[in-house]
Formats: sequence, structure tokens, C-alpha cells
Amino acid sequence: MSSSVSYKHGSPLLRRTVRELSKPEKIIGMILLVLLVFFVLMPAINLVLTSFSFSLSDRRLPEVIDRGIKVVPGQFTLIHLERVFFSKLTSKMFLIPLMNSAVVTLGLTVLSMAIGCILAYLVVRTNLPFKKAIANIAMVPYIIPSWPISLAWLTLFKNSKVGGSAGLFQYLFHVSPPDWISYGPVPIIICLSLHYYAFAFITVSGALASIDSQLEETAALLGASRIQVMKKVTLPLVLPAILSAFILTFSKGLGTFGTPAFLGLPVRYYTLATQIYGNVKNNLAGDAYLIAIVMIIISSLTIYMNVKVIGARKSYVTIAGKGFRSQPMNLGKWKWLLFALVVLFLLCAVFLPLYLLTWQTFMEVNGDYSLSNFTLHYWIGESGALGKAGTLLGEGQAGILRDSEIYRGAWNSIKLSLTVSFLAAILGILLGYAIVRGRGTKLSVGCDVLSFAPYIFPGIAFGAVYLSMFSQRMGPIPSLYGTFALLVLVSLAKRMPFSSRTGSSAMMQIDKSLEEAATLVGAGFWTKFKRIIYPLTKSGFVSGFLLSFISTMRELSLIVLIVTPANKVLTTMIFRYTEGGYHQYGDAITMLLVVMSMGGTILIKMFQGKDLAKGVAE
Amino acid sequence: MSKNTKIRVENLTKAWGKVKAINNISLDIEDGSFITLLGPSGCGKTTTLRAIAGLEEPTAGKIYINDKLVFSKKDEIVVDPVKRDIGLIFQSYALWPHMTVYDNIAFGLVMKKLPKDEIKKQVDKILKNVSLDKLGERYPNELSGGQQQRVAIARMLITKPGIFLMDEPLSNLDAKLRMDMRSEVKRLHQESGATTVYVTHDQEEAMTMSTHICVMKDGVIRQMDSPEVLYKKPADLFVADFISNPKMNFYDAAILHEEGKTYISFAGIKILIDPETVGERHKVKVAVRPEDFVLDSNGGEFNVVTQLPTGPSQILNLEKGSEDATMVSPDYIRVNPGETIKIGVKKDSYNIFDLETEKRIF
Repeated sequence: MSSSVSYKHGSPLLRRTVRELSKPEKIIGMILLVLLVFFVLMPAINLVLTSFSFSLSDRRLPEVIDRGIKVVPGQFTLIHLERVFFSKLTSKMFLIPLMNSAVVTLGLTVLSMAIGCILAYLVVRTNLPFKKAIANIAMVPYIIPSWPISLAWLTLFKNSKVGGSAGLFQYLFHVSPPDWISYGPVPIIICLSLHYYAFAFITVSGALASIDSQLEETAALLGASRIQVMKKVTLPLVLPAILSAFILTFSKGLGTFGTPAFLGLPVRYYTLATQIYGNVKNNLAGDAYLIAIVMIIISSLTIYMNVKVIGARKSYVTIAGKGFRSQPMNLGKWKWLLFALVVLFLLCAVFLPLYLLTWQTFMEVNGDYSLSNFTLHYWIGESGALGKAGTLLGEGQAGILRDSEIYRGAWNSIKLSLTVSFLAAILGILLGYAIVRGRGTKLSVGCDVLSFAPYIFPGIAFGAVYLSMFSQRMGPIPSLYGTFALLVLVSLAKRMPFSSRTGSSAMMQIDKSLEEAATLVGAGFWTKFKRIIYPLTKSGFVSGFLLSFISTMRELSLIVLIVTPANKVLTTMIFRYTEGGYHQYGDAITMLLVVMSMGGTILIKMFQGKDLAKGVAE
Repeated sequence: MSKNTKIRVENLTKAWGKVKAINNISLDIEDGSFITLLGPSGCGKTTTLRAIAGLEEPTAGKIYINDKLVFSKKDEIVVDPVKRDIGLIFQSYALWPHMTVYDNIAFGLVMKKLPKDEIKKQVDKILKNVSLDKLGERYPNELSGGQQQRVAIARMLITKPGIFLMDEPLSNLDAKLRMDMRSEVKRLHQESGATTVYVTHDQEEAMTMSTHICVMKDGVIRQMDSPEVLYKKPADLFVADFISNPKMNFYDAAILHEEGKTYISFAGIKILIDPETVGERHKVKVAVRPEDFVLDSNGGEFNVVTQLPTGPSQILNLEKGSEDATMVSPDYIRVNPGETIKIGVKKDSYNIFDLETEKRIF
């Protein structure tokens, strides 16, 4: 073949290597895999290694001193394993927190599933009045962080036993609420349920809305009663959604930190997450990470169950076609009673917490709810202003809107969220590309698995590992201790499961042939990305960006250990103020954060509404 | 290689792990021909097409286009699709939903970095050609299926490829439109003279449009011939069965030797044959096309089960014990369900297959 001579440069092997390596999904996949290995796999390995080796601070462990062990940092040891699982500390450090976590997590999961499912049914399937408005308001707890509710709880039910001033309840009724109402599992479960019911609500109402009511009508025509229809048709159809909401809520609830910290730590009620925090704070990283490993195992098991139980059944929820009509159930005389109950619930879950928090920010002296106690100091007061009793207000601190520290924190929060969400959105699309287009290859599986892995890490432990890993020089990376970059890295890594899911599902919607049609006329990867992939994934890109923005804004557990005074963000400032008993400041900043989160969500809604326009819909 | 070979495929194999989508196939496609790759789903026809286009990298073999080696596994040569002189219509059309009809068609020229006014001139001309001249500013989802199809055709034509590749382009259209588009595609082929490789699982589409049909199964080519030869002389049982509508009739037939003559006998029908055809065999498979059954007073007696008028003719479903027969007959033959008729086979209008190899022996 004379014409083929022109190809005979170099060896076939070289040509093959060059060609394989120049496939875009391969290059991207390999770069991403290297990054994932560095920022996900290595921290995971570090977590395990730290659990089974000595660190310098282990010199002061009683076991080490008693047995006269010579501590060589980095050397293998089972001493942490022994301390956590087989010593007299075990019950205090592991078993009790494990029990507490189980109680809290199961409690909040069951309660929030019940609330979410009932609300979803009422909103989607009945003629409840003002359904649209109710559905929108019911989403609010999902938008704001989970722990402001716990702060509001304290405002309401704090008793004087722990110190500081008591809450509204005691003020009004002059009775100190018992400890079990003020602190511990009961308030933690209630507060978290008021946040997490939103998962069940969103998932189950989505599934209910996709059921063709003809399926139910057919059963009714065949003689099934309303209860039978519910049991035999509706429930089995939404069961996969219910199960997956259950598991999502469970694994989210297990790792939650803010609320158990605010409502548990004052009475030494530890869950696994707050126990990890305590251990890390006490320089017991090895012990902490072992507990983290237990949490990772539990999370993995729930996900495994999710796949096992739901995997095969998930499919038929989506079978329902488009143009069907859903017949709402007539609630009859119960209509207004149920409506009143729902409104009451939403008042308690949504408006009351925000109202109480706002109120508290206007109180000069905490715990005095009379009008004479009203002050704007905590918002706009001058530094060093004196209160009515002639004492310094807020120990001389200015109101948050006059405090340059707050502005710095707010700016840091925004800067962090913007950076993280921008990078997360880009990485999400690239991950989606590498995973979907390279499907079936080891590279694709590697990217998929590693990008999902941070999901099962408790945020607090992930943050702790990053802190210890990147505090010293790591290969080409200099020490990042106390830098903004470390915050970005850890937040970005923790966002990867969501980004890669968003990216993959966006990429899955772009049929391969749309890209190939461009390949045929000579478009390279960059052209295809710019002219086809990006325009078609844009809406996913932007809403993914905004979702990352909001969740980074409210992130606490992940960065609470990492943040240093130089780069503090709003959430950690709230944590410190509340920890120190400066509730007015903490609440005021919380309100600031809530307003920012809500603003962001309204932006998402506006954007999504606009972008679902013509062209891209198909 | 003959002078007018446009595409040549040599010993091509594409394996996904252990599964071979195409297994060592070779094809010579003449310049200007319309060749259809026909077969059931999963037979490897689309993979073959995509390998020619350069969208799929085979695991062994060679491909030449215009006498130029564009793929060779041994030499690790893979020429980019854009340099293969091809245009492709995807089954889904693959129109970019975020681009207007105009932009969809213009894309190939934009890639060639042609000046804007030149692009406009060419796109406008082609839009007129496919009667879409008023719809340039529309988006694909604002068009009907047939219009989308024409956009896909226009997008393929715009770069003036010497080879058209079409992957089941009509399968998403309704029956009426499909008939119209068949003639449209055939006209396109006649006017442009471009070599066309067409993939379909619809044997009627293949029969009506192609100069050559290549029947594939399980990644292997079973027969490649003109539609006529394929219909009259199917290479094996699979091809005979696949190329038949209404269904071809198959019978296990015995070989009878009576008074020095050799017959095949099935369902009460006896046909005199040349003894050399069957050799030492005692049994064979006989295939008769529905239109090759005729009324014959010496033939086999069948019950009429149903009678389906199709307008110009009628389809009779017949039954005789455990055997049945489908017969297409002129509509002037008046029969009613429940009646019996006697049928035989038109002279030499049948095929005989070996039972073991399933290959045609007559």
C-alpha cells in the first residue's frame, strides 16, 4: 500500500501509546485519578495508619507511661485499638457514644421519615389547601444549616443548671425545664428531625408525583378499598424512594456534628462525631480515627444495604410516562384540621426557630424577655458601649454589623464557597466525562469509587486527617497549616461525591452520538467541550455550583478543626461564640448566614426557571 | 484490489472482552454502490459501520478507504474520522439540541474554517435542497421527525463526503414517512453517486434500496449479494428465514426414489428433482416462499385457517395436520376459512438445504 507509507513514522507501539494517551477521557481520567489518590485515598490511608501507629503526643498516655513503652512516632502499635475497644476507657470513649449515636440517628431517621412521608403525601396526593405554598415553606429547613434550630431550642428551653442564663420557658413559667428537655438525646433528635425531614419530603414527594394515578384507579376499579390501594399499589411503588430517603437520612444523621455539639456537649452527652472532635482536641488522633473507621464501616454498610435492597427495585418508579393526570384524594372534613396541623408544624419547624434567634439578638441581657431589655447593640452597637446596668455590653465587643472581624469572616465564607463551588462544578463535569465516557474501564471505575469515597467519611474526621496530613510538607505541597488553601482543599474533596454524581448524570444525558457527530467533522476535545458539552450541561453546572456554594457556606464539622483565627469563617465564628456563651452574637451571625443561604437558593430557583427554556429541554 | 473499490475491509474483528461483536469479516465495497448491512440486533452491523467511520477501534484487521489504509491494527494506524471522506447519519440523528438547524448544518464548515459568507451560501443552498429553507432558525425539537431527518441528511451532505454511512436512519419514523424517506435516500444516492453503506434490520428496506445486501449474524457475514440473488438463492437457512415477508415456509422433507426417479416429499407435496442435488442424503430441509405456492390438483391438501386480503393479493394461512403453510395468492382465487385446497410449488421455485450444515444445496 503506497499510500500508507506516510504513517510509518515511529513504531506501532509508540503510535498506539500516543493514541491511547491522547484520548480525552483517558487524559482527564488520569489527571483526576492522581488528584483523587492524593486528596482522597491518601487521607484514608493516613487515617488507618494513624490509628495503628504512635504519635509524639502518645508519650503522655497512661498506658505508655505505666508500661514504660518507648514511643517512636510512626511506629506500629495496637495501643489505640486497645484503648478504644478493650480498656476501661472503652465504655466512655466508644460504647456510650456508639449507643448515643445509635439512639440519636435511629430516632431522628424514624421521626423525620414519618414527618417527611406524611407531609409529602398530603402535599402531592390530597386536596390540602395552599399545597404549593406549603411545599415551598417545607423546603426551608433544607436550605438553612441544621444547627440554628438547636440554638433556637436553647433559647427556648435552656435551663440554668449548666450555667449562663435560662431560656424563654423558664422566664415565662418560672420553672426550670428538666435536663432531658434542655439537653441530650430528646432535643437533639427533635432538632435534627426538623431539618432532616426535608430529605424524605423531597424524595418521597418526587416519587409520589411520578406515579400515574391510573395505576391506583385500576386497582380501585378492580374493587380495592382506599386502604388496600394504598397498601398494594401506592406503597410498593414509593417504597424504593422511602428506603433510599431512610438510608440517606441515616448516614447524614450519623455524621452530623453541630447539633449534638450544641445540645450534647454541655451535659457531656457524646455521639461518635462529637467524641471524635473531643479526642482530636485532646491530641488523641489515633483514638479519634479508630472511631471514625467505625463510622465509615457503618456508613458503608448502609450504602451496601441501599444497593442491595433498592438497587433492583429502583427502576419502576421511573416507568410512569409523561402525560398522566393525578387525581387528588379528597380529605373532606379533615381538610382544614390537617391544614391547621401542617401550618402549626411549619410554624414550629421554620418560623419559630428563626423568630427566637432573631429575638435573642435584640436582648441586652440574655434571658430577660421584657421589652425594656431591647437593644440593637449586638447588631450595630459601638465597641465598648455600656448597658443599662452600666456594664460593658458583650464584654466590649461591637455589634456584628460594625465588627470588621465579622466582615472578614463573611468575606472568608463567601470567598471559600465561591472558590470551592467553582472548582467543584468544573471537576464535576470533568469527572462525569471521565466516568461516563470511559465506562467499563478501570480508570472510570477508579474515578467513580474514589470520588464517592469522601461521602462515607465523617466530616469531622476528614477535617482532622487533612489537618494532620497537610500540616507538614507533602511531596510538592508545602505545609498548608493555617492557610486558606487547606480549607479549599478539604471542602473541595468533601464535595466530590456530589459533584461527580451531578457531573455523571449531566453527562449521561448527552448521548455519545452528539459528540461523535462533531468528531466526524474534525472537532477536537476542546471544541467539543466548548461548543457541545458545556452548553448542554450548563444548567446542571450552574445549579451544581449554587448547591455547592450553599452547602459550603454552612459547613461546620469539616472545617471546625482546621480554621485558624486568620481564616475563620462565619460558621466557625458562630460555634466559638455559642461555645463561649455569647448567644446574641452567635445568633446574629446565624441569622446573617441564614439570609445569605436563602438568597443563594432564591438565585438557584430563578436560574433554573430561566434555563429550562427551549432547546436544551429535549 | 480492483480499481473501483471504494471501501475495503480485511479480516476485521472487534471484541469487547470475550464477546466478539464482529468476527474476522472482510468486505469489498465498490465505488458508487449502495450496500446494506442487514441483520438482527447484535449482529455487528452497527459496529462494522462505526469501524469504517473511525468511531470504533477494531481489535484486529485493516480498513482501506479510497485505496488508502485508514486502519490497521498490526501497524497501529488509526486515521481520524475527518480524514476518511465519510459522512454519517446516526440512528438518533444526533442533532445538537442547543443549536439551530442552521448552526447544526454549518458546524462542519465552521470546523473547516470557511469564511462566514461562504458558509452561509452553502448552508442556504443545502437547506433549499432538503426543503428546509424556512426553518433555519428553528431548534431541532421544534421540528417533526421527518424534518429532523432531513437536517441530519443536510448536515452529512454539507462536507461533500464521497461515502455516506447511515445507521438505521429511518427507524424512528412512522410507516408512511418511512416509505417517503426511502425514495428520498435512494434519490440522494443516485444524484450524488456517493458510495453508501446503510445499516438496517428491516429486510424490506434493504431489498428496496440496495445494490448489494450483506446479511450478518453473530458478527459474521452470512451472505453478500444483490437483493435478487439473496432472495432467490439464500446461502443458508438463516438468510432464507431472515429475508422473508410474509414468512418463508420450511419443511423437513424425505427423499424418495421411485422407478429410477428422485423426489422430495413434504406435506403431501412431491417434487421431482435431479438426484445429484441431494446425493446420499435421506432427509433435507425445503423452503418455499409464500408466493411460490400455487393451486395444484396433484398437490397436498390443506385446510384454510384464515384469509387476509391485502388489496392486490391475499395471504392464506393453511394447515395440514402438524404442518402449516403461508401462501400468497392472487385475490381472484376465492376460498373461505374451513375449506380445503390442494397446493403445489411453482417449477424450480424452492430451495433445498442440508440438514446438518444448513447450507443451500439447491
